[in-house]
Amino acid sequence: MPDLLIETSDLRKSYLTRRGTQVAVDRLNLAVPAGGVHGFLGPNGSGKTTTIRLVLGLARADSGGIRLFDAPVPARLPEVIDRVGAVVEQPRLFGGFTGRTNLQLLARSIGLGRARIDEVLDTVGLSGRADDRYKTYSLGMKQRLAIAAALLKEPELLVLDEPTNGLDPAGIREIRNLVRDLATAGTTVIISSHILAEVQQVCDSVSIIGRGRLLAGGPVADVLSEAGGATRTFRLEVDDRAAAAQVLVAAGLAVQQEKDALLVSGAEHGSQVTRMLAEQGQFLSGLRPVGGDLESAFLQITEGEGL
Amino acid sequence: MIRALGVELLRLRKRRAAVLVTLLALVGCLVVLGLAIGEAAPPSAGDRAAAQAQVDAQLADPAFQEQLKQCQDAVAAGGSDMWPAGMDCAESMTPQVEWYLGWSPPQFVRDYTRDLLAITMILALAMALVGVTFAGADFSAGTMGTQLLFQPRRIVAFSSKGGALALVAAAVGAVGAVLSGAASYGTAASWGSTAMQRQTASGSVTVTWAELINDALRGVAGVAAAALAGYALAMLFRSSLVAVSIIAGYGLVGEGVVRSLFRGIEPNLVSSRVLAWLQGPYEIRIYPNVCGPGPCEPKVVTLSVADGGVYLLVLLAVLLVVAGWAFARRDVN
Repeated sequence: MPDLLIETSDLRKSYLTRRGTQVAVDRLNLAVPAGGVHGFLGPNGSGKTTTIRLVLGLARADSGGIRLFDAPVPARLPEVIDRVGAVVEQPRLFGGFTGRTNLQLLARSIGLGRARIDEVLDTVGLSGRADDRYKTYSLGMKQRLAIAAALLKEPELLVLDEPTNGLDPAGIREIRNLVRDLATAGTTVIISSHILAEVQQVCDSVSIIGRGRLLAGGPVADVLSEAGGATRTFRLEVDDRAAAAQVLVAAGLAVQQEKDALLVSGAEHGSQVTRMLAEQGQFLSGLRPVGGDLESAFLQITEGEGL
Repeated sequence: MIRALGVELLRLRKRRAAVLVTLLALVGCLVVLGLAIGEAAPPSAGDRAAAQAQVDAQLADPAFQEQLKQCQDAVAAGGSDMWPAGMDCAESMTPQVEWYLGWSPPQFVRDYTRDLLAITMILALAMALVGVTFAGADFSAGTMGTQLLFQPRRIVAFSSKGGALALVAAAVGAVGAVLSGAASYGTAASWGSTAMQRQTASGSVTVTWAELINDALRGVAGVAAAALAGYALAMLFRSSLVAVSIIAGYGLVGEGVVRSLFRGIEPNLVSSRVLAWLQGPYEIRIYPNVCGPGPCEPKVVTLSVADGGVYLLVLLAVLLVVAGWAFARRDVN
């Protein structure tokens, strides 16, 4: 398996609209590594879905290159498509067919039998409703059936575009657990979403795009630290706040007193803070990073981009 | 490709709209054949009694008796413009029971040709609708994109869908041809003549079974072509509504408008070529705008089966190529 499952170079896609030419993807250079869960992030209209459709051969690029499993797309897409499962934008299956029939048609097209259909239905928890018509499903069930369809091929790469749209909290958690399980089992999962807090909980790496361009990318921790600079802010809970503040200020950190905690800035890691205090006989009852979430990072990254 | 074809056949079988339209068309065929059988059946004793009563009533009508007498007087006097000399007034004018029955014995070849044309037209229209809905549903439900994630070779996807439709339409067309053949032969064998004769403008000609089977096969091909044309239109415009509008618009209004705008265009209209393909040599009389002092002689254009077939084949091929090319090139949601 190549190191990069998806690689795009100077990818460009525009659409003709009544208002003229709209550039959806603009010289995008994307690299999705093999393994783990990769978040593909950006606000609505940033070009996430268009990029996914380009990579999967559903749309044609104006210019630039795409490689999927090291094969150029669309020229050699048929050679690698069996290694990719995808749900693009929203579940799109036949409303008049049962869930099982929908899967049966797709499974037959790649030579799979009934057993695999039962397996994926079981995986997404739809075995009990498999013989009901798709149009009678709730949005969450439709989403799960679409994921089941994507899983039919036992894909090495699973692309889920906004997979939690319309799901209730329990459904969101189910999808999250499923994604983590698949990643643990060796499937590389790409989740496209504009709900950054949700993605942060499952992603190992991210690509953040805006207006069709790559704004930041890499392991989540790297993106967070790049966005927040080399140092971070921590919220400390400690019995003797005054003494602790004295120790930290003496070590060159910026300390701000809050009602029942201290906000400390300037440390690279939380361990640096705990060590300093422990050496001076001050022990923490709580420590957590402040502002180190993808949402904050995203806002910082996109600051000035006019997104 | 074979696997893709199998999947599309299954998808077609599962499409309720496709199954419903096909069943309705077959029911329509049965109704048409039922009416034909009803017409072919000999009159009942009741029908004969009613006809006889009408004959009796006319014979008793003083006006009729007066007219008969005028005829006989005129003939006796050497004849007139209306009643020429030597005319047998009683035989010519006396009403017969058959006149009021409106029944002629069924003739296999004549009735088969007539029924086959009607059945083919019904099935062709229905299969065109099936083709439209089969392709249109993929776009309206947005499932085309999902299918392409499993079969990214668009030409294979396009061809397998078209192939499945053509196969099903041909099978339905064959059922229609067998039904019309069975009905016309059955009625002719029971109540009329199964002589292998066809009436033409130049008289009666003998036909062979091979010619009749050839007629049926052209009908079957016509039904399959109609399905493909509907499919190609829906694939091209990505909408059932647009495709149906084009078919209905052309059929109901388009040809009439073209006819009124371009005199003498009839031989190049789709309907003329369809009739030439299905019926064999098809004569079109085109009258001039202005006639001279003599009788107004039309220009007669005869379209052969080949004229019809080549025209329709080229038209269908162009439609399919354009639709396939557009499908291969355009983005799919």
